[in-house]
Amino acid sequence: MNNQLAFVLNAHMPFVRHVEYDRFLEEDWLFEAMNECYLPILRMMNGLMNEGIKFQLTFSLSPTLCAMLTDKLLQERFVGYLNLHIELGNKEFERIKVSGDEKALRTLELYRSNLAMNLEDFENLYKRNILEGFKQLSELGYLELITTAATHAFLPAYESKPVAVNAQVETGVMSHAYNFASQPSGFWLPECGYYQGLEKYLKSSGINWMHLAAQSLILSDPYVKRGNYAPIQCRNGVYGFARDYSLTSLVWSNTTGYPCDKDYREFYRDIGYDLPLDYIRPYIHEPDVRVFTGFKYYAITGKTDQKILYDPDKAAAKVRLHAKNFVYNVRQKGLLLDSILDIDPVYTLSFDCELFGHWWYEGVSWLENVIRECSVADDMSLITPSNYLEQGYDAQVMEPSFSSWGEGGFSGVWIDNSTNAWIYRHTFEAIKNMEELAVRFSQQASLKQRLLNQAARETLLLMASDWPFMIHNRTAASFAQETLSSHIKNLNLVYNSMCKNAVNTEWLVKAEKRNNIFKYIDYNIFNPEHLS
Amino acid sequence: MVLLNIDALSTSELQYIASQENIDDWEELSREELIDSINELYDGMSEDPNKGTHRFLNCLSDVQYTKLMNLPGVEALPDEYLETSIHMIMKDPFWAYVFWSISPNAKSECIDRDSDYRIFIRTNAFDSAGKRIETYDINVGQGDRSWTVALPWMDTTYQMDMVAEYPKDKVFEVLASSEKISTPPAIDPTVIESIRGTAQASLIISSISTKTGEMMNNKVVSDLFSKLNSGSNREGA
Repeated sequence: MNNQLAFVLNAHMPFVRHVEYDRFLEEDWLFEAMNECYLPILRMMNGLMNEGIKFQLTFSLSPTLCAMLTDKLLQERFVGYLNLHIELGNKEFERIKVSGDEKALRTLELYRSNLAMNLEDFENLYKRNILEGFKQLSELGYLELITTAATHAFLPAYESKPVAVNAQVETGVMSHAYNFASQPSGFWLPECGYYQGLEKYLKSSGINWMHLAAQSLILSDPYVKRGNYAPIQCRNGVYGFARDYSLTSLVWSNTTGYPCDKDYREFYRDIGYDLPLDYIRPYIHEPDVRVFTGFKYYAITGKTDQKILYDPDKAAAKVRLHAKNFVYNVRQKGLLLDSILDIDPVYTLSFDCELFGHWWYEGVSWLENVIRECSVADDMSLITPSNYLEQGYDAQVMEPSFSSWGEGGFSGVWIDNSTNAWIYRHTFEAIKNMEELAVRFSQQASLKQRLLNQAARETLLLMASDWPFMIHNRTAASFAQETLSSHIKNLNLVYNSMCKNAVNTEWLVKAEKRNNIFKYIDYNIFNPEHLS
Repeated sequence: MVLLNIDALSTSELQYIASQENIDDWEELSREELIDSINELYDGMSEDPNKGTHRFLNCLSDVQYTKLMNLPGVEALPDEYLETSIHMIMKDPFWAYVFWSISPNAKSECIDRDSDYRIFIRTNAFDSAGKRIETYDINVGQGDRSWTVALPWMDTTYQMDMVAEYPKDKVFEVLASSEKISTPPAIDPTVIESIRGTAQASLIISSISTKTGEMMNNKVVSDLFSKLNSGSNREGA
């Protein structure tokens, strides 16, 4: 029996580029992910490849993330971020040396070494473009790179706006072609949000498979014969891979998942919050806004304020143990399925990429250990969905069911009356106006074309799933609300300008500079005729 | 989506969140009291009592952020748009979020026709052949602009109408109709019966539960799980 593991990691960040400020708080989200996740994970994969270890993983790189990773301004700012944190690391060395605490010193060395290697890789290996690292591994056959909706829009909310859904899908595919010079086979449905019929837009954009929430197939009619252990095929030919709930819960659970282990590093105890302002001031935001610095010295320990110091050796041993435990659980599941399934199972293991290294500090090392375990096991292999399908496979033909991987399994997180549902009054109106503009002013040239293209960018940006998610969770809710509002206001301005047959050039120049995403966009994508 | 426990936060961080959330006397509260207050606050915001702990990370970052600078010429978002429309978005197979607006002109026309007019939302349900199978009305207030409306049947297409009733002439007028939305099909009970207690049921259950038997938080999945789990184990699976 061959247990086939399809890891699918979704790397996504909302568009948080703010050219108008020298340093913008929310840009740190991107830099933290680059520093703690994307660069370390690339280094890990390159290391395995150089050792001759074969593996196959799938990465979805969202168009908004790709746009920011290839943006010169943000690349420059990331170098500044790294240098600032290297400086803080040096200052920390002096501080901790005095205390003589060996564990803290060893933890600090991990951070300092990561920062130094990241700077080296970023500047010299990737020439500031991290996407190149993913592209190279993809070309060498280690990775399958896939795309997602243009701004990671939660598509079930826009079921009644087919033109906008199609624009999200088509622009997502265009972004992939622009960044990787290839057509993606797979599509990460943002938040695993699926509604019946969505696959037709994927099909028309050349997508062959999509990733689904765990319950999507189970709740379908007719019932799924092979559970989540084999892809299904929609009637239009697009394949669907459903997430394996039990195996991903070993990592994902916020109460029992591996990242909760007491020996792992505590995410929340950061010197940005713990040290005196006079010391930390140069490394946080003005005016004295405490933020995470990435320097964290404590272990999770337990439900206590009295955390013990993080012990890197202890954590490394736990990582190895958890990797073996994961493989053990896969094997056990395989044994259960062996007597039931008519084929070898494939387990779709999907995660937010930023879990590894950023949220779960030891996550990259855990993934490396799982890959190593798989490489020496004769009953286990890593596979990408496309490679799986290439083997030739007789799939059950059925329609998945409406679902997401959010709380409750449907759309409640993104459409919540008490927090975020109000946004749809505005986003629906904006989409309607954008479609009207595309019909009334089709095939414009010069300034008007630029104005309408910018309107199309703003329309896609306002549809991002991140804004309702943050408003729902009250996490950076005011930022999300303000950002969403600004995109709607921009779209409204274009609508009013075009209705008056005028172009506000000052606005246009500034808007193009600020929201400079999707350089290749053609606003005619919002013309309903384009869909038909 | 990583959900970490509030207990993991340091006391200073808890105080920070409490201050940002305007919790009274946060400086005087003990660690336990801070945790209770924050949990209470967040639980109150949640419709779902089973909801997991919130992610506090970005709360910490969401502080005196610089107000985003508007681009030149943009105008504030309107409270209402000058059109008469009604829209519906499915929240889950049982509930839809419905929102509507009435343009000032339409409102004037209603008043001109009958100042005692009232607005209600009419739910139309259609079967798979497009035949109307049920219609029922929901009274809404003049100031209401959105409701969460129950969708009683699965595998059914729904459309909402915004209707004005003019008592003087005893007539109704449909002011706007929403898009049509279909709820997903229910699982055939005979299929459930045929696989209950079999190896096939084990296969399905293993797809939606953790290794310790914990079920995902989803009403339809829970129903399916209990149906599959009831009855005897016919194949010893």
